[in-house]
Amino acid sequence: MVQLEISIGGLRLKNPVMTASGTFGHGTEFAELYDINRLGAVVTKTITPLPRAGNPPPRMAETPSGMLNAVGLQNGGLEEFLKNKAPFLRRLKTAVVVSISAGGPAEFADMALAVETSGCADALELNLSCPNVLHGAVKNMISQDCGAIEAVVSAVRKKCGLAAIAKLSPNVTDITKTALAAQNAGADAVCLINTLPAMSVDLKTRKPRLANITGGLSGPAIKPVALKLVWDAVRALDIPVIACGGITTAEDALEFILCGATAVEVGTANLTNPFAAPEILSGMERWLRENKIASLDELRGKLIA
Amino acid sequence: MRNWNCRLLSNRKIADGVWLAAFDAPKIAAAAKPGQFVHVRVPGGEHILRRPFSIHRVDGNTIKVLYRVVGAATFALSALKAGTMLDILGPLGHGFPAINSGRVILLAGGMGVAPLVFLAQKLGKKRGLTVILGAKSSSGVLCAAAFRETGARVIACTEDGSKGKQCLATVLLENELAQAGGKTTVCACGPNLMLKRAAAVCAQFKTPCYVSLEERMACGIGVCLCCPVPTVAGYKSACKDGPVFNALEVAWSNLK
Repeated sequence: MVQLEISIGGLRLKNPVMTASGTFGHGTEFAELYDINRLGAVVTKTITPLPRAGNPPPRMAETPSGMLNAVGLQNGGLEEFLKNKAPFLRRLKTAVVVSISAGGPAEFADMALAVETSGCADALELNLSCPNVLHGAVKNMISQDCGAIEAVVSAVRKKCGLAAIAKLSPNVTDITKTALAAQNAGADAVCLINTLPAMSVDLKTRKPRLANITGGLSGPAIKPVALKLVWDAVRALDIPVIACGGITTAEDALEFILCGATAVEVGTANLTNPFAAPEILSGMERWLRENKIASLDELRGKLIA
Repeated sequence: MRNWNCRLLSNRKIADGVWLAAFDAPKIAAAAKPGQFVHVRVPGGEHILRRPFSIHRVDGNTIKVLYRVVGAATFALSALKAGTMLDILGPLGHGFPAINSGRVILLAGGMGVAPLVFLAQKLGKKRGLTVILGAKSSSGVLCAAAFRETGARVIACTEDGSKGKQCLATVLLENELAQAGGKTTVCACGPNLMLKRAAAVCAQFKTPCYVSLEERMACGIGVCLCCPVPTVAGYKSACKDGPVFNALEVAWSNLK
């Protein structure tokens, strides 16, 4: 029996395999395929205070070993979530992390409280880094501004007792600064990385492949970028780092653990192989058994460098 | 919906750039409804996403897909030999509704024949079935024999006049509807411009019209929201809510 349990703030997860927001819906579609309670946690599609129609098509373009998306946080809003999605989530026997986004600190805090009150969530993921949703006069992501990160995280912290994970963008000069801003404001963990802002162009038509022109790059292509940023952040932080970015196999997940990640989020792989998350989990168990490692703690952060 | 490991039985070119692949897929064959699709993992190369293909025919335990080689993944698929095992997810999506009475017209533009052969198979001889095949030129008129086998009356037209009448397929549709008495249902698949025109023609004759729409897909099961179709009730997903929609439901002015 390998020991896979991990903690994020006061929350214990039975294993470190989580799903990345936006690639798993609210779990219902995958629950038809396998027992999603096997996963360490289900992270839901980001919800916003009000419904969002999302961006016009085309929203997606495939790129070498990756994909671009510009969905634009299409969702039914908080009310619809509480009415139609929360009851299913409440019945799950694994941890539920609800991803939220909002216009500013006060709105984030109100959302956090409403989700906590509904009793469907064990933790929150604060989506501070959607490249398709930009804030303020300078049109950047919240997670590109340390002051904005602190304001949102501390506002949520004051109003809501759930563990809070700050999801951060790779598109910053120094990931340790934004990750420390989240930690100092009271985040229980950071999750990195969200997608990389990117473009794809069709030379023949001379048009961008996305109606939104730009989108977020995900998939195996971004794994090396994520490894580096997780490695940087782990050494600067005291709170757990949840790794996300191109994780497709158990070996990918274990590489991130080796770099110091506490847990992993499986994203684009859910779209290419709907069984990716449970396969990664059983592959991790198998690898640890085969290598006679009894606990993930024996591997975590043990990169020989 | 599930994923299955399916054996490729045959894979051959049937027209310029157009291939027909057959898979041994008993579970998909048993569950499939016309208009549904399969999501195929094509091994090799830099592509990571599955490729969605309409279910073109079901013969016993065999399903067939008709595809055009347009990029690296379909090129890789066309190179696969019989015997190769492929990971296929399906059947997925919502297909054409059951049509229990009246006559049926199928309208296909080019590769739009892909889901309609299966529909013609299911409708069989008992429905006075008319199939309108439109294409740019004669080489794009596909599957006429397969439709005739189901007992359908097939009429073709091309934009250059190299086969059938020189006109758009929707002109033939309009003629058919003008002549037809009694209840008729139209099921269509093809370029968006053709479908838009077909929807307008059907609306004019107060004829029910169902269209199979195409949008770039990632997951195929309704979670990633990458394949939006503009409808009168906002965006819906081509993969889960469609790919077949009632033409009255589609917000045609927003469809590119």
